[in-house]
Amino acid sequence: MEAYKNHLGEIQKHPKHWAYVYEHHRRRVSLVSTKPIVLSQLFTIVASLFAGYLLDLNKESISLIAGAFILLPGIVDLEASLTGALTAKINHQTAKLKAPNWLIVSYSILFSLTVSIFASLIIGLVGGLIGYLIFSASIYKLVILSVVTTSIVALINFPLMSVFTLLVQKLRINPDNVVGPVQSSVIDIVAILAVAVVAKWLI
Amino acid sequence: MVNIETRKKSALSFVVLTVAAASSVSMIGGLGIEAVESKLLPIIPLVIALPALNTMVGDYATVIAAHAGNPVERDKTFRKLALAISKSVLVNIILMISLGTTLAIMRNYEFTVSIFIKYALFIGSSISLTVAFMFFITIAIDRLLKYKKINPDDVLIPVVTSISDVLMLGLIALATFFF
Repeated sequence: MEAYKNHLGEIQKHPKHWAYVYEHHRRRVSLVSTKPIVLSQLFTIVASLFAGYLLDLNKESISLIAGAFILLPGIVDLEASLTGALTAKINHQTAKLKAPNWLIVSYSILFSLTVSIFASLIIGLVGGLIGYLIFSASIYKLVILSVVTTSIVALINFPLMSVFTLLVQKLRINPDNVVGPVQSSVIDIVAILAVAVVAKWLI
Repeated sequence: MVNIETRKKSALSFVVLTVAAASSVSMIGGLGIEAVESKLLPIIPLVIALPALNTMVGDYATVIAAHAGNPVERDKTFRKLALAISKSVLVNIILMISLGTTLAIMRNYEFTVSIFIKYALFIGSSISLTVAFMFFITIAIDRLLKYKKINPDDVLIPVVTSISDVLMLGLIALATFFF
């Protein structure tokens, strides 16, 4: 128990979010050459076009809620930022700290989930206010849409990308070169489906 | 003396507020999409391209802004970066036009020659314009920050990404008037 408390204390001393976002971005761009940029973009484009296909399949459901398209970029951006920091944190801390991987992953996911829920509330309120003022949207529905969608995306995405990061590490591949394009695409796909499902439920 | 619990709470609230603020800026672009929703949704190729364009812009903005912010690498690699990105942009444009068209046809969208040309022109010009704009604002903001003696590392990536996101979504909203 004492050992776990020490490990937890060590994890909590580290920066929380933005330092990992920058580290994640910097390590991805440390090499400048055409091939890695093209390869990562190829994967992203194909997967994101598939997400676009799903968006087209579900557009009627999403458009049932006035203001849903205002929220969608905000939700995707929020989850992308949090997932990037989460995977960078796991990558960095599992390499540097003595704490067991399951403790680092659990703490990181819990932290990111907490931030996700509170931030989605703020985004829902901001988006709801904009939607209400300009499109006579329901603030209440947009807040619920934001919080529930973000929670669904976070609950699916955070554990998935954490396990993926550890798997990539085990294969001795630098996660910063691989996780970025995969996480962008997964977030796009899951977010679009989640918004469509929640929008149908709210009506 | 601030106790540990208070510091933990303020670290959490700082992250929540900054992350929410950064993501809220993206909603400006969403506002443009919502405004043209009735025009945009029937144009299936544009709807299919929307997430790909949004994600691509974020990725390129990160690559460009991260390099500009690193003074050690900047001078040596900026030209190399511009060349690498140009090649990547060309590949992206070709892939988006071909795959986007294929997926739209699978959704039973009727492509005429005129619509295909408009779609191809839009994809080519919007990506090229946005990437060129990213280089421009990265250099401009970097110089401004140096003048104000602010470390660009803390500012460039989220600023360039947010502005580029809004620009791309604005271009998509504008494109609906030409289809």
